[in-house]
Amino acid sequence: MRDLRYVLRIAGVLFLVCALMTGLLAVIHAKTADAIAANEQKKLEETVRLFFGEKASSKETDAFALTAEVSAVRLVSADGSNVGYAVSVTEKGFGGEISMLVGVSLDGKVRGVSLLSHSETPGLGARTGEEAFRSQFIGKSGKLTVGENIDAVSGATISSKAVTAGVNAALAAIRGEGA
Amino acid sequence: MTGTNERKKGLGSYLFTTLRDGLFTNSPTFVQLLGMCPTLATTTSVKNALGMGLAATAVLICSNFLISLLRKIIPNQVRIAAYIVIISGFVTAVDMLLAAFLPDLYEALGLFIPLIVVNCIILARAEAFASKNGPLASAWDGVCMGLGFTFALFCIASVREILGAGTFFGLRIFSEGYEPALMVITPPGAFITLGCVIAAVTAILAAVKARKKKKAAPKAERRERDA
Repeated sequence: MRDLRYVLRIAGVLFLVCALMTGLLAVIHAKTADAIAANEQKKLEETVRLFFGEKASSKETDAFALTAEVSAVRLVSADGSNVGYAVSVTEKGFGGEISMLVGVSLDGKVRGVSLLSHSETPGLGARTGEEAFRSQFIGKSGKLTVGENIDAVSGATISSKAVTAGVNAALAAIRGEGA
Repeated sequence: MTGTNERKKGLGSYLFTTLRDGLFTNSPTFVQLLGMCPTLATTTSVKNALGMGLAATAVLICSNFLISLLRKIIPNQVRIAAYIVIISGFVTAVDMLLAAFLPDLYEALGLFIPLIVVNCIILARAEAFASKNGPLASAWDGVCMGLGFTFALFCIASVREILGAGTFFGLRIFSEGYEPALMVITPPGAFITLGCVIAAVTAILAAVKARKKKKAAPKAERRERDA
């Protein structure tokens, strides 16, 4: 009997600690979930405006075949006419998944590339998120290759290749060639 | 009257001693050599280092406080498991709060927040201090150790960012012609920089200690002579 009480006491306290922390997290989650979703949406819209100008707004469209990499395509319009697409792409980088948004114009040229979230090495692979690397994609179309028409960030070839592969996947999706 | 005065003085010097311990003499990074993983990973830039240090400090204060409150309830056999649950709970809370209310900071730090769970400074303070002391003393211990961690990260990150990227806090401090020593930013560079900074801090601490001893010694001699 003493053993049972002993085991129950230990298990009970551990359960209480877990329940306490779960309760705390549930409360915080309920308070923050909307704000977090709103922040993500806001960031997406901000990125779209960065690609297509201040008046742009976007709406999800299912006119394109989605692949393992391409998770969503948004149709971007400004002043009532369509101006291009914003493609959400996830690509495997050096440190994990790189989630990015690629802006593509109606004629299939890159309007902009932005990394939404990634786990690349700070100071090396993370520099693929910097303007100097991202801006080389703008205006390009067709198949992009690191070393030919894209310069890699020095010391971060894998990350550079991953971002380039993501842009290629976005362009292929808009061309209608599901990878 | 004198009683309260003395207690006040006692509290003041207690607070000061703990802070000095956290920052220098018992620095979690330089002296205890704890939490090396986040130290190596986040010191590539000063901004990252400060963010990581302050986020870890927030978690450390909360976890120390709660663990100290629960210290008499948690059975010895499951204390580590209970501490881990509490620590990771607070880390997740910080993660969600930052994502919701400080999205810009979260963007820069989001990657490092989960790393706080495995920061052994937090578990070490829970085990060595919070489980044996009252909630307020534990919270203050969290403040001091957290600031010590932040200060240490700041020192290492300053060296690495200035040498490795030629910038400080994102601002360029060398002319364009400066070729950054890329190696300092890479993981091996992190180890080498850490070693050098620890060596420097140890040397300074030893020098300060030696000077104090020297100052104290002649006084004692004089007293003897006078007698």
